[in-house]
Amino acid sequence: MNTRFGFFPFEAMNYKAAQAWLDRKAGQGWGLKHVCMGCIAWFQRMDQPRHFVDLDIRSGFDGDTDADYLQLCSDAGWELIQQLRGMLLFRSAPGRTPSPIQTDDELEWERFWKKYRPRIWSTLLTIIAISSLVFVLSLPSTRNLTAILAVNSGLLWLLCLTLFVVYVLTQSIHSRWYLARCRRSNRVESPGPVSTFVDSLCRLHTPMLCLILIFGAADTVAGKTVDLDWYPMNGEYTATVDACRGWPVLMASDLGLPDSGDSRFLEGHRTVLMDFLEYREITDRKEPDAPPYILTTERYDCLNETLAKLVIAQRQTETRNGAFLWGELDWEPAPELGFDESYTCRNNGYLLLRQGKVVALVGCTDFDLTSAQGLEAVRARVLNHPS
Amino acid sequence: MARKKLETLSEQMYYVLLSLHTGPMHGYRIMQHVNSLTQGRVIIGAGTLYALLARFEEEGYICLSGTEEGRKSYDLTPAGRQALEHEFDRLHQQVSDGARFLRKGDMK
Repeated sequence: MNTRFGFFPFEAMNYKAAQAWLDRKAGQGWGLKHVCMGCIAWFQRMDQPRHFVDLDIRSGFDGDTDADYLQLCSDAGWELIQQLRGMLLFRSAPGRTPSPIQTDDELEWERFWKKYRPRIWSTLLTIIAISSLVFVLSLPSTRNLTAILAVNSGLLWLLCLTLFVVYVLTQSIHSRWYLARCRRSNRVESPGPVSTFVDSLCRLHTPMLCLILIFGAADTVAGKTVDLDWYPMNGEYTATVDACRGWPVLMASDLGLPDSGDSRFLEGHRTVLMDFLEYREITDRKEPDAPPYILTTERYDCLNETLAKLVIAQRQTETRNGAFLWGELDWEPAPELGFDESYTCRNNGYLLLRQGKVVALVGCTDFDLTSAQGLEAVRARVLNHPS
Repeated sequence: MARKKLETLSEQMYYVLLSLHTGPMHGYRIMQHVNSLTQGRVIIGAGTLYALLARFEEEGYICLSGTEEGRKSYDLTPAGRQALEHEFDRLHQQVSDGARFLRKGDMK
């Protein structure tokens, strides 16, 4: 095999790490041919190749490197392979063994420091910005983790956000530390393996963006298990009711309430962590001026009990803080109901239950769901449904 | 710390100016000249030379004298000549001072 590929994640600030990596490859007889798609290094077998990675600080407004500089490098025996992210990648011309492009540590350090000195201050600003973001995301009013866990693209988004925060923090701290180390020695030092890890994280952003788009599209096609929007009383009514009956949701008819079928909504997602169902129904009472019954079911069939425990704890906090369509829910423990975990609120009109790995939030306004009839309906229709 | 002003010259700076003392030259010829002048002891990289030429030009030590084979040629200015001589005197003084202590036998 005369060709080999490698991962080239390096950023301009860590150009010495790129140099060390290319030196190792050259030692094995591999000469860099090109870096494709910004991070795939394409090597070919060559006779005693040499590489040099230089900071590209000579680019004009048009992005082109100064022609005199390139001419001088070419005369000295260096062939420019390509310009990449503020770096210039050189390879020795065939049959020549040129001396390094930079031979004065002090001059090299001067231009490096001039270029990256602002990072000293931007590190502090970055940490402040991330701390503010984390603070805002942790506010009760903005926290709705279960809504993210219940959608694949949401999970991926969460993963991306986490990776991004890890990247920015690590990069900021590492570049601050690296600059300080270089400053102490008054030369551009080798940045070490952490820099390669940080640069690799940065290179992940394009595939991650593609994955989000793919997952987003897949979610709308394959991720949804059911999607029946609000249906008013019309010709589709019967079909809608029948469709809903096949799913583990609490319907008015299950509680013996009038089934006027004013409107109902059913939505479901299948994610890597859980099967999620959400059902809402508004049905009129027999009394003409009385407010209607509002029924709600949220059902999380989780991957395991640990996740179910996390979901019930999280949903309890979220609904208490207002992340619920029909207002805040102030839960009270109700162990006497006989489930693994159980909470009630609003005069037992709402139940938050966990049985094994299934979590359910069920509710019906002005109906005591802890009554024998209510609990039986919840058990049979929601928690122990054969689906 | 980086030099604020070229009060003293590094070895590579010294030899670049010394090469130009012989007449106008383009960059690569300077590299070759320094290499042969010092018998390979001092090597100036292309990037380093490029930075030095830019700095000398900024300080007024050298000026563009024309183009040779499509490459920019540089020549020493009076200020550059003075800086070179000043550095030579400084180095000479250092050697003399050192010799008085380190090579006492040679001084006799």
